[in-house]
Amino acid sequence: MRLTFVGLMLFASTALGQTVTFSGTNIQDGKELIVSRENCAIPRSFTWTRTGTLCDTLYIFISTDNTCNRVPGAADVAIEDFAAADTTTTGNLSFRMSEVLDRLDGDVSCETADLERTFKLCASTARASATTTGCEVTASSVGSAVNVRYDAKAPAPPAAPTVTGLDKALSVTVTAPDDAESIRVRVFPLVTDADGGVSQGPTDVGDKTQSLSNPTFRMESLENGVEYAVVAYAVDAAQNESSASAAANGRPVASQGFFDAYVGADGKETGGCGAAGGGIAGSAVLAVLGFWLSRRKQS
Amino acid sequence: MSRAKALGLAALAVALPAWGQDIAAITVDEGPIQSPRTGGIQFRLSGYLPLIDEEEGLNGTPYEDTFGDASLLVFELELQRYFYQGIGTAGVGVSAGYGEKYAAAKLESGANAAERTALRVIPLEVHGLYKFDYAAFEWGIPLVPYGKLGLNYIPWWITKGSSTESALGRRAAGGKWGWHATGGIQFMLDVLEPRFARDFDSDVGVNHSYVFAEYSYADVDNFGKPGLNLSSRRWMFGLALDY
Repeated sequence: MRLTFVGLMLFASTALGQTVTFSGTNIQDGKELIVSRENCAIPRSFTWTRTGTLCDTLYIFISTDNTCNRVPGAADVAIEDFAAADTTTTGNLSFRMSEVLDRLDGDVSCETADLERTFKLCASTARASATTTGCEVTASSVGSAVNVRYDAKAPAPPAAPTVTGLDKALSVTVTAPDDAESIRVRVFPLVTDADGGVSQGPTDVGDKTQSLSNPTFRMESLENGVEYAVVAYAVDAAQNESSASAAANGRPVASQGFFDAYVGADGKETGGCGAAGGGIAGSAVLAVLGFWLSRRKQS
Repeated sequence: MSRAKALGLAALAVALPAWGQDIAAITVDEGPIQSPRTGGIQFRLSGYLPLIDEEEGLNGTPYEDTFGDASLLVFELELQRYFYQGIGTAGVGVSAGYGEKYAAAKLESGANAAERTALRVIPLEVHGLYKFDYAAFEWGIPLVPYGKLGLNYIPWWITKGSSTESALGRRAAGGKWGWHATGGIQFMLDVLEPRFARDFDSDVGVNHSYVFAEYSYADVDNFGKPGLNLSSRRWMFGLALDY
């Protein structure tokens, strides 16, 4: 009797312990898979890994109502099914956000402007019953919690950047909205129009993207004395880019560093490692190190 | 002799050996148990004011004009190996450090620019050293005078903005050789907390710990050759451990 009970417990613990974990480069922090408007119709892949023994079919699907404790319904997007006898424990799967949006009520598609929706990546199966020898009647969720977010809404543009002239460069500081994840800065030369007016040139001469935590840019390879227009863009986690900020103008300006000042004062330094004077000294260093190591070996 | 006195004497006679044994247990001095002492380590901070403006033939004071009279804050780590421990301790040491000084670059008008310029150095030293710690160990005087004599090599580079500066085709980076003589005095901290010092030794192998002040006279100009003069006369302060 006791042996039967222990056997049952062992069986039950294995069956109850089955889990499916979702991972992959598209899943941020193991919690969220974000799809941008540009990627709406492109397959988004992920890796699944399972542990434990299946009692019934395992379903991997995207739930449009954020509920995973069931088998996929008509409103969901079924990605893959694994029969109970299937011994596959890991693999790569993919889905298209466009198919998920097709399941939603109303006229919703990849073309819908500013659409933001969150779904759930689910794994469900009927677990082994803890009280009988069969499976439970209903399926329950066995997947790790991963949200699938469609984000077609671009963040608001940043305020006009603050621009400071450096030597052949501009320092650009941007304050971006909170929902941005990174900032993009572009530098355009100002050109004189036929009517004598000045406007932003068509081609940028500098383009850099940095994270929100590093909002000061150094835009290099510019010409001193030339005025440039600088615009910034906020970019969110789905890589949606805001419209351009208002432009701010800046002009790189020549400056003298310490070495300029030193050379200007007839300093004779030409750089280099001073090898001529260091030959003897280098040998002495090596000798000391050798002595050190030999003493260390002896002790 | 009464019966009571006789019993008392008998009891005393029986107790004497045990009493003697007990006293011996108390008075036997086991002496301090020390781990072997093979070297030392020093952590030191200093204000490093290079004598750049004293370069022969220099027409002006570029260091002072750029950085004012402020020093570079230099942190250094020195490892020492002792090869003689008798009347004092002698050995060799190598040290490495890092220091930097930032200031605003100058516009043509002489005003400060938004651009930053910096002098950065990595002072390296190798030297022989002698510490007169005999008095500390034998007579309990917790002051240890010492001296060092050796060679310096200081890799240096000057930046403006995010890159190494160049002027008239010369790149502002290199290394300078030189020599130094250092004298200092250490105060042995063991005298303040002897028990803690013993535990420090038995737990992590640190025999003695000190705070120290030392003065360094360093000529670092490729032994008199023209160019950047990174010589200095400076005080250094820090913590030293014998292990």
